[in-house]
Amino acid sequence: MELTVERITKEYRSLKALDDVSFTLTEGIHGLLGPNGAGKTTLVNIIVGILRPTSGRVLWNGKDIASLDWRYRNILGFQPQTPSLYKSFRADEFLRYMAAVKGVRLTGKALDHRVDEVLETVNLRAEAKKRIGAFSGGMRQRLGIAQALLNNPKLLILDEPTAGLDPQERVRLRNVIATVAMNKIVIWTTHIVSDIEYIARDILLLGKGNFLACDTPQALIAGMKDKVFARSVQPQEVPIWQEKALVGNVLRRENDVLLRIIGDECPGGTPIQPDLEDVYLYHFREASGGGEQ
Amino acid sequence: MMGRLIGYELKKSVWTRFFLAVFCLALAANFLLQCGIESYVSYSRIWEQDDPAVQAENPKQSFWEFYRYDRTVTHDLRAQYSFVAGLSPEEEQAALAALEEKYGTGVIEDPNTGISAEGIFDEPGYFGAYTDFTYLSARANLLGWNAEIDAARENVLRAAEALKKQAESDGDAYNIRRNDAVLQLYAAPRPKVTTFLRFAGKNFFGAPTMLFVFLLILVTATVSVAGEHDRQTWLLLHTARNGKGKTLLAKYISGWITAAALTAIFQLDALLALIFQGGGLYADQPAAALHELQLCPFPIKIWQYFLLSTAMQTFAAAVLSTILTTVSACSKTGVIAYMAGALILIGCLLLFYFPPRSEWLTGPLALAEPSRYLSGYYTCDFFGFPVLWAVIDAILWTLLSAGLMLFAQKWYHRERRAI
Repeated sequence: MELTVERITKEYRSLKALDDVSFTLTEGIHGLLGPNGAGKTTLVNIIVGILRPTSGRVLWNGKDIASLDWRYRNILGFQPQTPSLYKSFRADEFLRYMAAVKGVRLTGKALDHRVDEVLETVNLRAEAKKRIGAFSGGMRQRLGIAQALLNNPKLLILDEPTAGLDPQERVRLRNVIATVAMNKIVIWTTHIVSDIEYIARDILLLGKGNFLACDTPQALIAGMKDKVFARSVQPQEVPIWQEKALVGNVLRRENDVLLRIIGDECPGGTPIQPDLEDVYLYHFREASGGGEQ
Repeated sequence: MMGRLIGYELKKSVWTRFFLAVFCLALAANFLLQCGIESYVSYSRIWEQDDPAVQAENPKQSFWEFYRYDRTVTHDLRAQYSFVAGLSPEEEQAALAALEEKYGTGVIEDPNTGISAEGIFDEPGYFGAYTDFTYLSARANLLGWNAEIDAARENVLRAAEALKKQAESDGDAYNIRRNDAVLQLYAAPRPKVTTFLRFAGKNFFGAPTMLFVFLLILVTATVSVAGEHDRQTWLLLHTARNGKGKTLLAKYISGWITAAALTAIFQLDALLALIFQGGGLYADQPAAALHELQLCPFPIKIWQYFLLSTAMQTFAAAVLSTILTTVSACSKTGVIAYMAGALILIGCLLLFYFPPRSEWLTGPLALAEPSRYLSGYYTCDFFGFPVLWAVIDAILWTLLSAGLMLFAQKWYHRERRAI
């Protein structure tokens, strides 16, 4: 089971949304991390086959997805970014409809069982008879994941599934994904580091249409060794440091302020243990609004 | 699988508060217009302008009383005409001889000549339940109506004979064949009218019924595909196994089912209004009894005409649904689809109410007005053969609809250059 993105470039007139992007994914959860406008959704739309790349191709087990056509869609589970769904449908009804659209060959009790199963997975079984119009944003996101799971996909793509969710919902959703990810390639796009920090097998950092890094979270964090510093400064110095360095955190203490500085060097700073958020900030300093190094 | 998809598509397009509200309003408006609400309104206006003394003597009738009175009158007239039509020739001959002796010879031809004759309005008359004047008037009317139908038919036959001769001398194969067909179609005498047809012409021809159906199709079909863009659900559909092809086909089929159901419901609504207004459907009478269909080439009855009309109206509604669903498939948002759909519907309605000179330019909604095709033998010169315009139009619109569907499938399911 292998998904290969081969030299994908996507241009919109003068804008290059993706520039010669290549990678291969195997079983596991893969985080696609990047700031807004990095090209994550463009890449996802190309992978799911609704957007035509300017050049390059996407291969599933070595075959071009364009030639696989419905056979590719048959193994695909996709949750787009915040769809409104059908407000007049009940949750179970919506899933039955999606089962028909996805060509799930189940009827009667077998279909009811499958619908109950995916609702249970996303913790929505008690809400099965509720109209989608009455659902909260989080419930809709979970229902979106439920529909993506209906056909037991081999490739599950979740485009910003935690957008607009409160922390509790995000944790619940993360646990759901971790549970269902067995024997699947899962691509999770997000710009929120904590979403994928602990569950992703590897992380692809996408910035302005280019891959900046692609590795396991541990390796990415290890690569940040001696690039994150703690530095104590006086309160009046904080704006100066924010201007000249990338400040990851500002902790006000009784007599001073402790800054978390991310950069190749930091005069007077003490190297500390980096985390994935530091990796993100380091690679996307411009988007983060960090200062000159 | 397809059945399930169609079922859900129907629910998506029809089971919305907006559609149900518009549907109920349109159904009520259709009923009121069909049962002739304007006659009650004008009655009310006239009553209110009357002297108070007259008003006191004749209290204003309620909506229900007004139409109950109409139904009673229609019922009585129908019974009276049916009685006259049901007399045997011997009974009729004996009655006419007796009445001629009593009121003079002219009264048989024109009962009005006997208005001043003593006893002509008395009950019991010759036939007991009816006055002699009632009997003679009903008989004269029935004879007159049937003579009118026969005269119309004979005129057609004479004209066809003359045109055929002309065509033969010109060597015009199409007109020879056409007039042969006319002579054949009109050869058999028309069935006889046996009762009084009240309100039928107005209800069958002047109806706004299909206009309501077209508007409701505009509401459902225009958002059926574009609505998926508004909700962003098209991404779910396009990445699913059956999402390409089958879902769009299901949308077209659900559109046709909606069009057929709406046509049937609104025609039934119109029939109920007709019964409410006048009490009679006259289903077993010849269609030629309706003034608008006196030249109808086919000796059909009113119920047959009604079924034929409904079938053609259903077809017109389905064609409109196909056009508007295609517009929806090519629109990025529901608002654009509504606007484009409304413009197309206005164009079709203009062609409907102001028909162009060339039949080739007739819009799809013309099929919703069968009297246009059945009030005469309207044919097209199809490689020298006369073919009914209704058939030509139906084939053309079927082909165009199929073409539109193929185009929509290609367009809607293309890989996007940009989203």
